[in-house]
Formats: sequence, C-alpha cells, structure tokens
Amino acid sequence: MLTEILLRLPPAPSSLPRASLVCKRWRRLVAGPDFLRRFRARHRRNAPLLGFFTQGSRGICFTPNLEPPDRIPTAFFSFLEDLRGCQILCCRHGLVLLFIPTRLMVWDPSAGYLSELSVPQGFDCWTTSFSGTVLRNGGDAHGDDHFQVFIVARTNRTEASACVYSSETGEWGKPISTTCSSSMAPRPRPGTLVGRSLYWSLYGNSHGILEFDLDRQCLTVTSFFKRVHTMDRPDK
Amino acid sequence: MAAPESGDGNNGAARMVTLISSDNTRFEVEAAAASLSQTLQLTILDGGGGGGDGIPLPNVDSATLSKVLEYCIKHAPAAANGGAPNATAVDRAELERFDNEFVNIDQSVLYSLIMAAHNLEIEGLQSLVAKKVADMIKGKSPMEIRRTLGFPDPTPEEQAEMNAHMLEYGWAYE
Repeated sequence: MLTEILLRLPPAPSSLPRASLVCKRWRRLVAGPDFLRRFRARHRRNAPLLGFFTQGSRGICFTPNLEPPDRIPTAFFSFLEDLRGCQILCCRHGLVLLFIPTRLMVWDPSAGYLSELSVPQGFDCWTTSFSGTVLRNGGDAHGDDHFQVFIVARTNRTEASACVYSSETGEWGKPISTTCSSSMAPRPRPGTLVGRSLYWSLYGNSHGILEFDLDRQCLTVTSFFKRVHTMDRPDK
Repeated sequence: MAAPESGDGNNGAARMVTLISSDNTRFEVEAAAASLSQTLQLTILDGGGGGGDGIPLPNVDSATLSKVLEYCIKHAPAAANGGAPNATAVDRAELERFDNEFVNIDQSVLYSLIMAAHNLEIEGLQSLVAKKVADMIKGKSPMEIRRTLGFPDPTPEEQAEMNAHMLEYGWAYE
C-alpha cells in the first residue's frame, strides 16, 4: 500500500528525494528499480519539462527550467562536460542519443542509465556526414525501457544507408541502402518523426530529404530542385 | 411481477448479501456493490453470503465497513457498466465530487479505510485513499511528512543519515 501512495506523488524532481528521507523503509522502496520503473511509466504522460541541454564550445550544458525546490542544478549533469567532443544527435521519448567520436550513447536522464553502442561497421568512417535518432519502444506515454537507435550516413559515393539497433536484441540490424547523389549528405542533426517515418535533411551542393519508413524498413531520398530555406541554415 | 431468485438484473429485487463486521454488526447490501471487493467476489459468485449466513469480516470493524459500503454502493452502477465508458460527464463529475468528499475525513478513519481497502482488495478505493495520502504529503519536507503521518521523531542515527543524504540532494530541499 505504501508503494501505491508514493507512486501517486507528483512527478516533480523533489518528490522522491524528499520521500526517501522520511525513513529507511521509504528510502529502500523509492530507490528500488521496480518502483522507479512504475513511477516513470505512471507519470510519463504528464512529466514536467525539467530543462534543456545546449551544445556549446565547452561541451553539453544543462539549463534547468523549474523553480526551487524542483530546480535541478546544472552540476547534476556535469559528467557531460567531461565527454570530449560529445554531440547530441537527438532527444526523444525521454532519451538522449549522444555521439562521442567513434561511439554512440543512449542516456535516460530520469532513470540515470547510460548504454554505450559501437558505431556499426561501414558507418564508422563517415561520421562527419552522419545523423541518428532514438525512439523508445511504445513511444512516450506507454513506453518501456527498451529503445531503438537509427543512424543514417553516406556509406559510399553513390549511396546513403541506415542501420537500426534494438536494445532488446542488443545488436545492429543489416544496413539498408538507397541511391543518393554525392552532392548531399546528412549532418549531425536530429531526425523528425512523422507518423511511422523518420526524416532527416540532406545538405551539400544540393538539398533533399532522407526518409526511413519504420514499417517497411526502407530508405528513400527525395531531392529538391531548388535550395530550401531551413531553420538550421538559412540561405540567402 | 416475479423477481428472479438471484437477479442482478435491472427489474425486480437485486440479490442481497450479508456482511458481518469484526464487532458482529450485520450489513445487508446488494451483491453487485459487495462484489467490488475482489476478496468477496468469488464467495458471492459461489452463492455465499445470502440467506441467514453472511460473510464474516474479522479484520474490518462496523464503522469502517459502513464507510467502505458507502463507497461500494455509490460506485457499483459505474463498475457494472465496465468502468462506465458510456457515463455522461455529469455522472463522472458526480462520482468525482463524491470521492473528494468521501476522503475528507479524520486521519484515523482514513488509515482504517486504507487497511480495509487493502484487505478487501477494492481497487478503486485503494487508489482513492492512496491518492489522498499522497496529496497530504506532497510538497512537504521529510520532517513535515513524518509529523503529518504521526511518525516519532528520528533517532540520532536516522538524523545523521538524513543529513548525509541532504548533502547529495540539497537542491530538493531549498
């Protein structure tokens, strides 16, 4: 019954630290992985925005958004500053996909876990024209602790490829390729999820869109005849 | 009009069961309402609790049982509709109003209800009383939570542990 009560505390960052100080029994309960999983699942739909990460010259920095006592200090995530050359590829469904030269990391800031993945073979030499996205299995509200990582890159002069990692199997699938003009390539920017497809912008001497269809597991390139204006790099 | 013997139906008399509290008070209630308790449901489905028999509840006193049954009677029609997917907004608002008032009670009564809802496995009531206690402690400091729930003051050893933990999560107490 105590579990049922504490699960109903509001999803504010100060809720569980405070509850865990009441007595030993409460502390053991709220620190348990089972409790934390249920707490996250229960509140995922109405979770508050805790803050945001920004990428600066000194690395990734956290800026809190809430007022005390729910204001998580910047120093709480200071380990990010120690990851040299670290870039945020994508934030989605409460997960952050990080690229730290030659490896990828999926980080769940609310659960505190970090899983490291190697970049799959064939993609490792192309990390300057490379992008990725992470999706939690089941999405935002009903998701579980498993996730999929999608990376896209130019893998040779004439092709772009995608590769999908599943945390359930712990493996990368086979690369999926499509023809892509050598004049454009993805850059390390987050993908966009629309319906059941992921999209990335392609940049270079010409522009286009790379689409990965989650259901059909196929990759398509759409080229633009004219250069388009983007938020990312406004062209004159 | 002949009422069916065990009719839970909409016409005629609904089937009644008798529940007996720990202090031997007998409560006659519709089977549909008592069946909100997972613990009682099987006994009632097997035909128990009818006639002169009655189901003894040695862990629930009459004051608490009367309160529990008030909840069950109010919620039985909605539960019979499978969580009332067709309920109107007015019906839902009325149940919500009832629930809010229902837990606006003395802490000692609330604790007896928590135990009874747990023992009788009444899901909706468990959830309602758990939410009430969560609301009582939300936003409070650990010491305020202890006082609210009537815990004794921490021992020096507990206090030392609390201080150590506060160093790590000091921001949560600002």
